[in-house]
Amino acid sequence: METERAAATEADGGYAVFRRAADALALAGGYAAALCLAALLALVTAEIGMSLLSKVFRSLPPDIGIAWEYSSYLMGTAFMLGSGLTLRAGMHIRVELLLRAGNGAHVKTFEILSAFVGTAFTALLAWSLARFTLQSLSSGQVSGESLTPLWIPQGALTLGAAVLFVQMLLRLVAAALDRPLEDKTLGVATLPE
Amino acid sequence: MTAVFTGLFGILFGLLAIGAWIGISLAATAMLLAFLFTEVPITRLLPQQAYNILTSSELVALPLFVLMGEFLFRTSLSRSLFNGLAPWAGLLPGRLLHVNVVACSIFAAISGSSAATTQVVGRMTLKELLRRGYSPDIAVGSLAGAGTLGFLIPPSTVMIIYGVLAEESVLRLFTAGFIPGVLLAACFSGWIMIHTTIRPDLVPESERALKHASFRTRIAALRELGPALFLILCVLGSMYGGIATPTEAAALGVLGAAFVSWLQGSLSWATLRDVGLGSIQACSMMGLIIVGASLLGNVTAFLGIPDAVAGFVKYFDLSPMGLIIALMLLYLVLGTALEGFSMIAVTLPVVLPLITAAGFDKVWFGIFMVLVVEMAQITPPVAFNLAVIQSVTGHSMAYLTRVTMPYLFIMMGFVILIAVFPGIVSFLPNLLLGK
Repeated sequence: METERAAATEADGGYAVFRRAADALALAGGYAAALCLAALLALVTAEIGMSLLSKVFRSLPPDIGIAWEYSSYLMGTAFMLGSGLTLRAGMHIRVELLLRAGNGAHVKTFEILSAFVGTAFTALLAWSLARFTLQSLSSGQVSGESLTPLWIPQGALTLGAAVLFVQMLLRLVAAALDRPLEDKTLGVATLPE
Repeated sequence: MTAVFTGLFGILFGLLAIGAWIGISLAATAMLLAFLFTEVPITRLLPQQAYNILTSSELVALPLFVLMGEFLFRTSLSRSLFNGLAPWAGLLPGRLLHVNVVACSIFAAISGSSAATTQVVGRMTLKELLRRGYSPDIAVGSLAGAGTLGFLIPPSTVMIIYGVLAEESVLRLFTAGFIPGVLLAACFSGWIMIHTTIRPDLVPESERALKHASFRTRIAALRELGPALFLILCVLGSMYGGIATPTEAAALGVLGAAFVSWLQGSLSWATLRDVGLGSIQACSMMGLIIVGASLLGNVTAFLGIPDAVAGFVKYFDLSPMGLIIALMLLYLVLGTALEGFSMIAVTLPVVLPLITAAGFDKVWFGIFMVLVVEMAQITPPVAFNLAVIQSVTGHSMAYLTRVTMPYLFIMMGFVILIAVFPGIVSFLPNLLLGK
């Protein structure tokens, strides 16, 4: 009895440490993603400004060569880096009909199952993106437009996928331990639908 | 092929049923199908496809429009819309109920989202209409109906996602949605006039006085619409005028929204933080669904599923109109359990080839999809717009569904209308962008 309780607290203590670390990581990812979004906005705005200026001053180039390419890299990075925070905030959409049905008798089973599928998929995603990035790095692939090494945007996506994987894995553990799965206080998005 | 179909629907609906996230359900189904029935190396397909779709330049307008919406959500634009429109709406039978429709249409023309439109307009109009003694039946119903215009009147997040997945020009879709959006708003307003004429008790007697507001008050009220009209000019004006791509228009819109927010004194570091993180959460949510949908689209095409479905439908020998009605009914059923993005993501890989084979144009079908997605927003149990209203008024879902029903029927009729007269959709894009 005593040892059981001690073991439980110990496991719990371990969980709490990982949880804090993972949530800090997810939040950092969220802020980094928001900065990417700000940079994207700045880039597109600069592009608009440049094209206006070039109509007045003919000697200026009509656009910023890298604007479109880099704004798409920034977008992909923002989408992936924010994904872990989005999961923790409970903002990734799912069908909750069956979860809520039957007075929630099967909630734990369903939560464990869905977190398991999520963990398996995000593990595959993070691992395959990492391999994809390493291949680009070793073969020295660069983009056609600006000769940017492709491992940079690919690596950023990989990082985001890894943050999401960590959150999924902890969610699986949390579901098994009956811990809270989501931290709704992190959710600030208005309904995007 | 039977095994493939059983696998597709069994895995996908099984995952959705246990509550796995939509994007992950789609992606996991795609991976399993590819693993079981093809020789495609999934560890190569997965990262390549995820990278390609998440860095496709047509998608860049999406995060910007989301950002713009998050800014607008935190301004007092709804109050100015109400004050600007109320003196004019007083002229029509149904009085201030038309503020719901027109304010939703205007907000829809600067925001890409339907639930946000409902929420922003509703938090001002609902309180005011109920305080003045309008029947909640029609105050709530007309808001729920008109809120769906958020998707149809461009800009629209649903159109961007459809455009990227269906490989159709987002600008063309944005141009095509305008006339149907205005027409549908007119239908809603028309119904309010008919409904309040048949049942005069829905509008309080005292509201007749609104008819006699002075001309001077009306003109003065127009000033309140300034910020909204300025934003419409930034976004739709720059796009339709041919001087900006949807992405550039979105960036102008974000700057305009930030400017309005600053003018109203609601711009602070705390707001910026919420706007930033809020946009990221909305974007990541959509990003995951887009990755899943594009993976599934890729794998189903590889498996020849679209051809098989087309053959199957040919077997029934449906006329194009029969096909559209059948699809509308199918989406009505799906829309009860799925919300908008998921519905597009789940069905598009199979339905799009079918529709092009039947001779429909992809832009037209995009508008059709937007309309059925709008219906999904107001058909319970999963109905985002009704949930938004519920959080404001506390009414039961059954009540909300009942009072929204007439607007759902109007939308169904409208789908038939654009099927009979496809020119409603194609006129503006052909005029502005050429055939």
